[in-house]
Amino acid sequence: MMLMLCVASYAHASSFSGNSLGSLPILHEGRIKPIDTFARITLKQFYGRESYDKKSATEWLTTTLFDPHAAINDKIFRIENPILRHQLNLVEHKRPLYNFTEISSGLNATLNDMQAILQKDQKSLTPAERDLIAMHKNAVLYTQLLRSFSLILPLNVKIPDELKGFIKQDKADDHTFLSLKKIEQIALSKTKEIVAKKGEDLSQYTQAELNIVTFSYQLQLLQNAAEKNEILRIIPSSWNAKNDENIWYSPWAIFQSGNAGPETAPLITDLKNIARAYLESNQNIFDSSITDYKQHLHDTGHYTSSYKIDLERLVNQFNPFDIGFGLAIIAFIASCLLLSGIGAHMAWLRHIALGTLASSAILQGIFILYRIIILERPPVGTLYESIIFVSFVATLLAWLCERRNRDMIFVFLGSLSAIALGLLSFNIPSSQDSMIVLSAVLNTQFWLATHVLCITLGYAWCILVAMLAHFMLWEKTKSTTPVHFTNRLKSLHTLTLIALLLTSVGTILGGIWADQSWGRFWGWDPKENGALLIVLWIAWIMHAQLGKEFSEKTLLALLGFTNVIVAMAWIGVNLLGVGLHSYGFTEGLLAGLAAFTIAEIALLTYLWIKVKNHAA
Amino acid sequence: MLPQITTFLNKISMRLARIDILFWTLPPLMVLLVIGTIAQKYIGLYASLHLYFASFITFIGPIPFPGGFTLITILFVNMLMKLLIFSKWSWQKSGTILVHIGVLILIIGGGITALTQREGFLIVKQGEESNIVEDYHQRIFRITKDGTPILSIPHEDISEGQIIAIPNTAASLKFDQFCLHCNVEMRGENEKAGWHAPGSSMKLTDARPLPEHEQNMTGVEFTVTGIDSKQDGKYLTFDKFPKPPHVTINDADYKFEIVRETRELPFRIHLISFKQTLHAGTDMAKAYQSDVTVIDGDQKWDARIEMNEPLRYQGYTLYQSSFDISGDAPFTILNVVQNKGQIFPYIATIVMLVGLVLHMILRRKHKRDAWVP
Repeated sequence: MMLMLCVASYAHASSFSGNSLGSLPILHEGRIKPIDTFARITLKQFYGRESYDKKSATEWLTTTLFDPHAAINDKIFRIENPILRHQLNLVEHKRPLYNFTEISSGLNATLNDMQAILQKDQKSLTPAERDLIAMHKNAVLYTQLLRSFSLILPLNVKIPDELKGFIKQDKADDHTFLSLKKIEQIALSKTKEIVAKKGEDLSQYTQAELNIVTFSYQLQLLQNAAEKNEILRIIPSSWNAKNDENIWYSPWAIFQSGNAGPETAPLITDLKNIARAYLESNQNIFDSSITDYKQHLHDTGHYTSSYKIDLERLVNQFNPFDIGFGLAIIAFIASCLLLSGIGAHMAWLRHIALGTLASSAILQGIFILYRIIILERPPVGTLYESIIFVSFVATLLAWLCERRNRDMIFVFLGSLSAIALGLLSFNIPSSQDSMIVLSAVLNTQFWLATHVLCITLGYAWCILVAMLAHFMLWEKTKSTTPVHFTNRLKSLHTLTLIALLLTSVGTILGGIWADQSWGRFWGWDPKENGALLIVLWIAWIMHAQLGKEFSEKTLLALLGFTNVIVAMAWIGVNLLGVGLHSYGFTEGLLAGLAAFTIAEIALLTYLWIKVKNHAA
Repeated sequence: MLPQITTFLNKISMRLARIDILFWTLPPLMVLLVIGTIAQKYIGLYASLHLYFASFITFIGPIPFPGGFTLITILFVNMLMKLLIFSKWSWQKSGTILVHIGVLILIIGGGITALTQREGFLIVKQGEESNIVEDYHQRIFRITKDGTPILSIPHEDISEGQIIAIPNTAASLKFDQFCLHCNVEMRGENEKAGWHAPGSSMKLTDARPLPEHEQNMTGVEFTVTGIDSKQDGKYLTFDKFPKPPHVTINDADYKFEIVRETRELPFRIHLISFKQTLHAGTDMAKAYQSDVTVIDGDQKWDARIEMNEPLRYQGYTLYQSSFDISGDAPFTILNVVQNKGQIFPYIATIVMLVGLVLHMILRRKHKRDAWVP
């Protein structure tokens, strides 16, 4: 808060847009990305959404960076946990949103609690303790953002008359930390002289002496507050080429670490211009200074892939996966209307259903392609990526099957899969960027492109098999056997066989990867066991049918249960948090998985009994 | 008599080849797989492996249940018999037959691996060399005489109350307490009588074994008799304790310690350098890499070990497992795996892949469908 007193406050025009700042690149979580993405991730971490008070995330970030005085009144801290609100001594609002000023005193009061919590086994923490840790981390991150540009923002400090002669002041460069840095040493030595002469009792100082001491203290405060402020890595180091590492620095860090070079100066000047233009609400200069900054960034030679930044910004605006999800909903509604007979006389509805399903698959495919381009690796390396890939494959496969069968069932099943998987992808508990860099063991293009793709293709096939089995079991509850039932049974058999092929090959390839990496083919690790479970499950059903062990309804119910087997192997084993596949561990999906399993068992049992009663 | 035996064997073979055996074996195998996997969260991979998968019989609660070895053996016999007796050796069935042969090869390989695989780790400091592989799991109670081991007892052979003679002396020791994982606590003033250092100041209490078996701190408390009144008494020692107790018998120094089993590689590894590369601006590792020199007799050559790129030599696989860069020079920790069944999965994979593809092609060609009545 004291720091805020050092930074000048400005009135701001409401028509001004800071969105162009979003086009600048930043190194964040190991990847160069647009500030737009960084702003969205950060705001979502605090607020749970990607926009605040009708402002885009970038506009919110722009205010936070360039006008900290105004920003600290933004109620961006969402605190859902009532225990944490009580712990932070917060007043209850209609919505649990608080600004930085409101939470600061509570956070200070819980510093000792934090020390004790951090000593504990992190696995045994209560939700409130986890939330308190997250809140403190968020507060640290937020203060770093507030201070990120404090070295180039105009300061609200009074320059002692005695020191004015040492600085050259013009309109473009007045009262910033960088300009005043030139006289910092002089102020410091004079302060030492004053303290040596008069001690630390301020009442003994003359006004001129007091001005010098205050000035020196303010500069020191700014500098100390910026220690380890590394969040806004927007400046490449001039010495990167020598180090063979593309490390970027925050404005404070490049200044304090001594990594600034001749190429840094124009970047700092541009940042000053951007800040001043923002504070003066000068849109033209703001936008042109950002263009200048990008040009100077190119000149450094450390930033060559601006097309990726532009592409990512475009996708942030118009996410093909989200649009594909919307189209899947349309396809689902259309197929429901057609299957129920309501839309039977509407021929155009069939085209809409097929067209939207195809478009959904294409858009999902484009989204995956976009991620391949940005990340420069095969598309599946995380749980989120596996979900969107499975969604894409299931949708595409359903569309292909529909073209062959032409009975709308695969549109229904494909769109339902896309909706279910889309919802799952939106609800993965993660505050991180969805495009993360991978751990060392996953840093292999070959195995990601073979084993991982093969096994996720297998998941997609299994899901479609299970969905079709559900549908066929439901059909058997009707009084008459559907016309195309035999054809569907053939399709089901073929799809199951391919699912077995893909999961088997995927599992074996995984074993070979394990042998290549860890020196053993099989280690009974949870992830390996999960993959084997799917293979054994399908193999069991296939072999049982050879011996005619199951009735048709039991076969369909068991194939429908493949959904649960896949969910356990795909997501369930990651919840255990043990084994060598530590890069895949996740939390927070246990309740959902349990609910899904119970719902599936209940549904399949109900359908099975109904078919049995019907036959009797 | 002979025709009767032949008929009997035929009957047995026919029964063993029936598909219902597979039908009734796979469900318990899947149950075992699920339970053994979930159990890893609570008892760790090592304990779960031995309890459920590498066992002939196990218990689910109080109920006896066939272990992994039993179920896989039944599957193997069933598939082998089916292949030998019932298979129609025709081109049309070639895909299915090949897949099943592949699975059999995989199981054979798994069996060989289970019997022969040995795993440990090799720690080498940058600039130094080593060929000593330390076992992750096998602890040994060892007595050394002037630094030379004279008696080694594997931890699973230690039992409380067991008495052993200290070789070539009149002294003996009795194990009073053994714990696979011990907590070390302060010994109370009123409990110190009869104890020698370090047991006079600390005591071992039995603790619940950790899921990560290699992290368990195994320890023993024991009573030594037959030396002299000054040295006879109670002692304790535990895994990796830097100052294990020792006694002097006939001017020789006898030390009692718990160590991990070690073995020697037939070659040496010299660590030239270890490098950890991070993703820019993060603490997340992008790559680990150990540049080493392999020294085998008079031969020397350089090699690089990194993630997904292990060093394979003389049947050993050395892969980058861990590291320590906290000291003045980095240490690399390489996992060393010796597996005589390594080739089998590769052969099985090729056979199964060919079989699966053939099956798909031939099935399409003949348009058969087993599920359609």
